[in-house]
Amino acid sequence: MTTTINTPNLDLNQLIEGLRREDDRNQHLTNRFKWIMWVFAPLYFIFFLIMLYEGESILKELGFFFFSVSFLFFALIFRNLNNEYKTVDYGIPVTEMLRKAAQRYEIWQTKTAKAMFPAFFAAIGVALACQDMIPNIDDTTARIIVAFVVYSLMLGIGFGVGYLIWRKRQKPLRDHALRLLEELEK
Amino acid sequence: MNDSKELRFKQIIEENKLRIDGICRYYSSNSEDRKDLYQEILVNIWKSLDKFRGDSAISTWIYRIAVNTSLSFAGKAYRNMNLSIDQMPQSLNILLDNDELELKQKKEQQLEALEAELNQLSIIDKALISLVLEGLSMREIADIIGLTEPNVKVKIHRIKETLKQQLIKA
Repeated sequence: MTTTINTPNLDLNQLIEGLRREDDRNQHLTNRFKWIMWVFAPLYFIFFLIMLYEGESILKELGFFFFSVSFLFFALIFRNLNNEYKTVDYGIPVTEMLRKAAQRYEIWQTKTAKAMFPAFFAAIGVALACQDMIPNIDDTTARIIVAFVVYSLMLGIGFGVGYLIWRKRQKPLRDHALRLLEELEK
Repeated sequence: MNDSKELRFKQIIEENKLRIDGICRYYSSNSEDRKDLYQEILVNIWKSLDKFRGDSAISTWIYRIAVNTSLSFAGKAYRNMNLSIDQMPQSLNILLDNDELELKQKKEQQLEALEAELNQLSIIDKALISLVLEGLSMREIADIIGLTEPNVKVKIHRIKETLKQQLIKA
């Protein structure tokens, strides 16, 4: 029985170039998304001020105010999330890495709960700003409720899809990490 | 700053090539898988380089990355790795404490039997054994894995005993 001990023939310079490109690409993508959030938050606040100045309906004004708050929260949450996923450290002890991996792939975490707030504010914003688009209902309160419920249903569908994606892709990773950790620590 | 990171990366790879290759060769079901694993370890070294603060030895850090990469969840073939051992008698001695074994003279048969038994081990036991075969001390293995030294000693002793029992049966 023989085994060969050869270092795989790898072009290090080519690899580094590829890594640099990926680093740059990830940086641009995340910056772009971050800036979208940071632009929309003050932009909607400006819309809110314009509406206030022009004496638009109070419901629309409040709606745009809630949009602005929602984008601000998303920008803050996304900034922290982005830093966490960007900096997975493989140089930590194995048990620590497994623990962090299991945490990272939890479906329900504190940060998930935090994301409910901006989603809720966005729902209120939609309900208030877009309630006049609901046809065939004369009562304003009823239109607000319908708009809120419809938007919340859409959010719910989004969460449902997110759950299915988590179940298919990330739950196996989490289960695998927990199994390995259990074996190491028993 | 990027140039200095690149220089540091190249230097680390150059100084630790044998270590990285050592881990890769235990996990090779074929040369393509070994190459993929080697490359992925290099990628993870690059990604983790900015976070390394020198609070552990470079060798420990490299081994951590190599083992963590091997255990990682990319769905690659090496998750079901086949452990390959070389013919160096020291490898056999480290695992078998061969003075007590009757089959000591039949090194070739023992190596084949040992390899078969090693491939029956769980992925965690394989990871521990690969570090033992690299000649690392219990202290170093404990640092890499993140367990206490006594805990690592007990685990490795248990694995060795299991291997001995299986080889005697075979």
